[in-house]
Amino acid sequence: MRQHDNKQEPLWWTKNITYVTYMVREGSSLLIGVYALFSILYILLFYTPLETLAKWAHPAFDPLYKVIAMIGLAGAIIHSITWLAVMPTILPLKMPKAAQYFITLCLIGLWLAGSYYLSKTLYYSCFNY
Amino acid sequence: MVSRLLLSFKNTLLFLFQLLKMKIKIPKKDIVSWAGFSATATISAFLLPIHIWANRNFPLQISQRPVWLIVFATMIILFAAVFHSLYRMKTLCSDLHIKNKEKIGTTIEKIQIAAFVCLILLTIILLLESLS
Repeated sequence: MRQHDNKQEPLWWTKNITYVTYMVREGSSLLIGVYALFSILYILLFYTPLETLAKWAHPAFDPLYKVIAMIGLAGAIIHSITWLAVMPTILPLKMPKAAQYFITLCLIGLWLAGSYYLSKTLYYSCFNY
Repeated sequence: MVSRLLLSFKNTLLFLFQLLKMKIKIPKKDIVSWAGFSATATISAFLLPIHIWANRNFPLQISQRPVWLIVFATMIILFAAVFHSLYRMKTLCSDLHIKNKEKIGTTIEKIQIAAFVCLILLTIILLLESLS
């Protein structure tokens, strides 16, 4: 039986803007992952029953957390915008291009409005801390 | 610009009308698999940026004593972020044709499991603390 040779170059994604957007979205997950894992570690160390460990963790991790939070925020914003833009196209439905653009605009609007609402309700205390 | 927007709106309405009349057939299997993957992506996309911005100085910075709602929100968002980002990291290794992608994939899965265990432990610790 003849085998199909499916070897692609590692830089195959640089040839098309759609592929570049896809890789940017995938790459932003790396930043989100770093933030998520670091904040889990930080919360775990801060709320540990071992007081000595908690006292050491807070001043040592505090400046690093702020930097990683900004990195995570950049990744999250890139991921949100690219994901909301691609969302109408990956639905298992066929819809016209104009409808896809319209849905993307609506989703971005919904995301911004929702974020504003959350900042005034759930995270209100965080902003007035 | 306005005419384009109106056209988009008209096309969206036509599309929804077609969907209601069930002219478009959607395989049920596709809907389930797509929903499973995109659930964590949607949580990350909609909630993660504002969550990080609100907690940019300190995670759970609302007070030294965490409130149960903030605890739940944080744990759900972190769960979605870990699940989705590590899943995408695995696909990224595959897309970039990295040589040891199987090994890296196994390591990522182990990190994922460790993170989930930590999240469960944290939820229990923080909820007990907020109730005491």
